[in-house]
Parts: sequence; structure tokens; C-alpha cells
Amino acid sequence: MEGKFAIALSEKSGSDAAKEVSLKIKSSFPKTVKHLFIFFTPQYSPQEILNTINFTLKPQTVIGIQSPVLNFEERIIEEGIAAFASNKEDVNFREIFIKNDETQNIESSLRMALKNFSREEGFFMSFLSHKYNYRNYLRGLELAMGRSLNVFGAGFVKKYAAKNYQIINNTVSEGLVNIVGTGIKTTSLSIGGFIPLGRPFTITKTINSKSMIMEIDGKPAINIYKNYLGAKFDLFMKNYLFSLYPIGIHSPNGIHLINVIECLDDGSLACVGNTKENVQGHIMLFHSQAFAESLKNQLESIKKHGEGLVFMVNSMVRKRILKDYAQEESRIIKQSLGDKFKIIGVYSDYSFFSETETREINLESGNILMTLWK
Amino acid sequence: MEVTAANQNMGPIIGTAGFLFVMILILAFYLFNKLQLISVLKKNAEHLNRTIRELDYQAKMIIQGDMELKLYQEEVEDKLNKLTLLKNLIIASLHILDKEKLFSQVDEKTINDLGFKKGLIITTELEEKVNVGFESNEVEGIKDFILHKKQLVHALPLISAETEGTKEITNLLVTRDFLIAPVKAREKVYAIFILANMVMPIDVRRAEKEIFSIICMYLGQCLDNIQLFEEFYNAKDDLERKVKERTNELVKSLREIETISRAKTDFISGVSHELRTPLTSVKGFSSLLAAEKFGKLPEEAKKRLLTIDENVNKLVDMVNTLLDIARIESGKTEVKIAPEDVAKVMRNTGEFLSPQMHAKGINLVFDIPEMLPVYMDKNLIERVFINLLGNAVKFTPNGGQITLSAKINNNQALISVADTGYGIEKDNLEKVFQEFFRAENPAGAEVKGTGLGLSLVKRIIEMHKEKIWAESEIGKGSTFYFTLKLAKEPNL
Repeated sequence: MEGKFAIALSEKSGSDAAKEVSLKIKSSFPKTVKHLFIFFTPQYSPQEILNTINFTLKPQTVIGIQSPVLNFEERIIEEGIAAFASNKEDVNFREIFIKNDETQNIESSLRMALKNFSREEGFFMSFLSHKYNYRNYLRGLELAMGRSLNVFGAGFVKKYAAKNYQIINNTVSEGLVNIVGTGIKTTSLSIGGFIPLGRPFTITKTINSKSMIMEIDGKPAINIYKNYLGAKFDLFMKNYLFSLYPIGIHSPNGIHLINVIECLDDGSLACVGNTKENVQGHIMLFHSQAFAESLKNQLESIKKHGEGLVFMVNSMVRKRILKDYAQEESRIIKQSLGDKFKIIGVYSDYSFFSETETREINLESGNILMTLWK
Repeated sequence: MEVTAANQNMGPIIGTAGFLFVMILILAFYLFNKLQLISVLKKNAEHLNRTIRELDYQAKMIIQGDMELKLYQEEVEDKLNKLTLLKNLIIASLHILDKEKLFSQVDEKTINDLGFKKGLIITTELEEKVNVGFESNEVEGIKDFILHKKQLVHALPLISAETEGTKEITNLLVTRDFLIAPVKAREKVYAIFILANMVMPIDVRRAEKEIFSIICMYLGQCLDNIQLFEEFYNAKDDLERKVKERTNELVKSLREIETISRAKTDFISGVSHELRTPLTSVKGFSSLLAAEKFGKLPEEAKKRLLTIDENVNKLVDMVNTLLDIARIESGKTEVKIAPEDVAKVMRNTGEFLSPQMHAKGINLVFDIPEMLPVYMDKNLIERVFINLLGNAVKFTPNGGQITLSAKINNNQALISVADTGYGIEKDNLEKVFQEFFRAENPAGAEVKGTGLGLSLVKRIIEMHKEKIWAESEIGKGSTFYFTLKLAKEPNL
């Protein structure tokens, strides 16, 4: 990896963190830093980070993403700044500006920007703040690019800090980051660890545009939880524990997770994820053995590349479900990948990526998205 | 033949019947098998159903068990998070000594971490200190409530929707998930802290109430500290102001004294100058007259003229000393400090005044080294010795002793002139250096002097940045000490 990527972390407070990260990157790339991706928790001022980076490193491209929690190698970072830099000559990153989150606008903006861009050339990466409607966005993305683009990204539906900042070159903003990258080959995959429990059910009525599941097996959707929780259902409702038991939707690519975020008065469920009608589903439960198997099966496609940078988008809901095991999980991932792969990443409410085979965009909430950059 | 024919006719019938029989048998067997298969399948289906039901039941048990465990973990985590919030708030506000800054620590994140979307801190004087998410009309409603329910507000405990008699507040906040508590400073309600609308749509739990109550108490404690600091600061400020005022008054008085002193010096200097010219003339003529240069004088007249001459000498001496003092005070006297041998100056002065001492039978003792190099203005220090030694001669009775001493003490030269005169009262030891002061002692009335000599001596020593003082014992004598800086070599 030498000469391609360098990673750095600082858990110092205030402006010292950005200084430390900059100096660490500088020690790896003393001459020039061409591109810098920086991930920071909400305790830090993005403007201060930007000023420090511009002063110390003067990179050609600076992309910054604020996230409530970060991943760095085998660790989960609750307060810190992590960064990876590249000085590869043939690598380029270009920002695509999208005015608002209306599907039509997204579609037209992307069509214009990606007119002559093919999947083989590189990838398209997006990060959406809670202010953006991810359904409209992904619909616009599909309409604009069909299946011709290698896409991955993540976003938030909840507000984890007073403001959800991003840095795009010399601008600090709130909202949306769209980056086209060329000169880097990426491979994306999803790591699960959830097992289906009980009888399968059929989702019979949804409002996909609002990510709502109205009915399951012809009855109010909430009944599925009532059925499984029995006398403990009231406790479940009172303590708002939907996210602990996501719904798994069967598809030709496997089971995709839908995270339930709220139950409405009519018994319908507000979710994060693709809610389609007439598909079979299950209540899902995390199981460490299933995670180990999923990891073993999936990581082979990364490990065969020998080395690289693994950009990981972990899930906030997964962290809530796993609790203390989340740290153990990060350690296992790092151990499985080995030292030749450097891991850096963020946590989000949902992630999406286009399947290598089917080229469909998978939207998930609960699994881990891993993208190998090589 | 008929039988044969009949037999011949029966053959196909029997064959068909047999075939049918066999077919029926096969069908029966098939049906039997099918029925058996259906029965097995039914049994299998039932078994499968039972297994699925069993699995479903087990799934329910797993989920319920898992939920209980996770709920417990969530509670522990929630409590830990709230403790972290409290710790962070305490760390951030520990040294804050400003009310505005203190309340600025209660921001949107703090409110959210407490589990609520909205937060408001409003003082009993209706001043808004913190507002996260409350609309202006809601704030107005709360202000109105505080204004009209003063008694209730001042006796406010921690309340939630579960507290009895809170219907009015529930209506006011348009929610049932709220917490209200007073922030007390010095046992009095300073502000009301309101939290409303929980982030998660769950009921307000004991954990939220406890942590909220602790935070309100902590804010109250911080306010107490701030008030104490403000009082201390104001008192210090007041004291500093008073000290400044007094200092200014003192400086003013000092300037006035300096002005008066300068005027006095200028006056003395002016008068002395004006007096010296006619005195020189008077002195000259009185000396000539007394010496009978203008002819013989009657004895009585000569006696009077000698008295005049003596008083004129005294007057000239006084005028000269006054002029010297005036010059020193006005800074007109140029000091030429250089390394000199003070022992030599002492010996010379002793010799210079030896006739007077001889006349009174006074024994002069030198306790001085061969050479003692010091930094001094030779002419001025000579005047010091003449004055000190002159005084000693004046105040030492006949047959007494004067000791001139010089030694090294604490890396400086310590010079002393001791006599065996009547001594000076302890209270007068400082005053003898004042102008025109004359100590009352048995010899005081007899001894002639201007009362300016020691004043001049003190000024000369101070010009050298050195010290002079006197020690005395009534009946045994007095000693005048002064210090001088040691030099490596005298400028010989």
C-alpha cells in the first residue's frame, strides 16, 4: 500500500486533533498529498479542521464527513478525527453539485455530470445528511444511471448532532456529498450476521415512497412483533425497541435488512430501507456465529486482492443491537483482513451499494458495507 | 357339443372378468398405497407443523429472552450515558464564574442527552437563559404562568406529568412527557428549568428524573459559587478603589509637600545668597574694626565689636550650611564619587580639629586601618567628618575622649565617631538629623551651633545612597555611624 494510501487517527481534543492527523499524514507523504478524506466526530469544528489541513498539507482535494462514531482499524472511535490520504497520480475525485433532493433534480444533475462516465472508470460515492430524502435520492440515481454505475454511499435519518457537517474542498456545508472517483478500483460487499427467526411472513401492503410497511400477512404490520413478543410487547413498545429486531427481506441476492424506526397508531411500521409488497420476510436476530460465517464468506472477495484500503460504513442500529460486541466485531474484522488491509470508516443509519453481479442498488440498515479501494 | 360351444362362449368372458379382477386388485393396492402415503404425508405434515410451531415458539422465547437482556443492557448504557453527561457538564462548568457562560453549557446536545428535544431555563425575573426548541408563544405562556403563579413557582419541587395537580402545566406544554424543576441559588428559586418532548417516544423514567434533579442542584451550586465570587470580587474592587483613592490623596499631599519644600529651599537659597553678600561686607569691616585697623577703640567698643565679629562668623557659617542644604535639596550639588581612602580623610580631619580638642584636653583615639578604600565624594565626606567631629568636640566635656573608628562590616565600610559627652535622649536620636533641632541636654544650652550640621551630614550620606544613624546612652556618650561602599583601590 505504500505510496498509495496513508491513514491517520487522532483522539486529541480541539484543534490539536487536526494538527496531529495532518502531521501523521505528512510523515507518510512528506512531499505532496493529492487527496485527503477526513472523518470527524461532532466534537470538532469542521472549519478549524479545514484551516489546519490547508495550512499543513495543502491537498488538491479535501472531502470531510462528520459521523457520530468512526471506525479506525480494529477500533470504534467515539471522539476523534481519522483520515486517509492518497498521492496516487492517476487518482482523481470530482464533486457533483446537486441543488436539492427532488428526484427530477437529482436525475438531471447526475445525468449531466456523469454523461461520459462508465462503471469501469471508477465509482460514485454519496453521503446524505438527515435533511435529505434518501428514497428520492436513490430513485434519482437509478433513473439517471440505471445499472451502469458503481455506486456506494451512506446517510442519516436521525440528527446525531446540532449540525451534520461535510467538507468539500474549501467549503463547509450541511447536506449532501457526491463524489466521482477515477483511477481507483472498488469492490463493495455487505457483512451481515443476522439470522431469520420463526415462520416467514409476507409483506402485503407498503408505501415504498415513505418506507412504510402497512400490513404483513394481511394484518397490521405491528402484529408481527405482538406475535413474537407476547406479554412483553408492551415493554417493547414502551422502551422503543423496534430497532433491535430488524425485518429481513428475501431477494435473489440474499436477505436485506430493513430497520424499523417507529410504529404508527394504525399499526404500520416506519422503516429505513426498501419496502416492497409481496415479498417474504422474517424477524431477524443478530447471532455472532452467523456474523463469523458471513465474514468468512464475504471477506474472501476482498482478501484475494492482497492489500488495499477498506472503507467501512458501519450501522448505528447495529451498534445499538451489538452493544459491547460491536468492539469485538471490529477486532474480528481487522483480524480477518490482516495487516495488509487498512480499515477506516464511519457509522450511519443506512448504506447502499450496487451489486457486482446484478448491479442493483442495495439499500440496507443494519449490515456493514465494506468497500475495498485499490 | 353345446357344452363345448358354451365353454367356447364363456372363455372371453372369464378372461375379461379375470382381467377386471386383476385390475381391481391392482387399483385397490394402488389406492391402499396412496392412502397409506397420504396418511404418512399427513403425519409428516402434522409433524412438520408441530415442528414449525415448536420453532416459532422457540423463536418467541428467544426474542423475548433477548429483548429482556437488551432492555437491561440499554438501561445500564442509558444510565452510563447520563452519568457521562453529568461528568462532562461538571468538567465544563467547574471554573465558570459567569452566569451567562454557565447557562451556555446547557445547549441542544445537553438537552438531547438528557433524553428531551426541548429545554428552557427561565429566571423568576422572566429572563430567558436557555431556549432549545421552544416557540416564542410557548415561552410567553410559561412567562405568564411564572408571573401569575409566583407562590407555586417558589415552592416548586421536581414535577412531571405524573405529579398531581399538573393539568395546567400539561396543557401549557401540550405534552405529557416533560420535567420541571427549580434551579435554586441560596435556597431561593432563581430559575425554572423545563424539559419537554422526549427524543424517544417513551415515558419519562426514574433515570431521567434523577439526573435532571442532580443537574438542577448542580446549576444552583454553581450559581451560589458565582454569587460568592461576585461578592468577593466587588469587595476586592471596592477595596482597590479605596486604596487607589487614598494613594491619590497621599500622592497629592506629597506633591504639595514637595512644592512647599521646593519653595522653602528656593526661599532659603535666595535669602542665604542675599544675606551672604552684605554679611561678607559686615564681616570684613567688623574684623578690621576689631583689629583696630581704623584706629584704637575704647575697650568697651572693642569688646562689643568682637561679639559682633563672633556672631557674624556664626551667621556666615549658618548661611553657608543653609546654602549647602539648599543646593543638595535642589539637586544642584554635583557628587563626584570615586574610590578614595577614607582612613586618610579621617586622620586629616582629626589633625585639623586637634587644636580645639587639645584646648579642651580631649583625647582623640583612632581605631582605623592603615588604608580603607571606599567609594565617596572626598570633599563632601570631609565635611561630614568636620561636622561630626566638631559636634563631638562641642558636646564632650573637658578631659573626655573621642574615638574615630572605621572597619569592614557586612562587605561595607562602617565608620563611627564616638564621644564621651552627655548623650542624647532615645526619642531624639532620629530628630537630631532634622534642621534646626537642638536636643535638650545639660550641655545643650552651653554649646553654640546652628542646628543645621547633622541635617547637612544626613543629606550628604543619603546622596551616597548610604545610611547614617546615632546610638547613645545618657551620661556615657553618643556614637554616630554611617556606611560607605568598599572600593578595590583608592584613587590616590
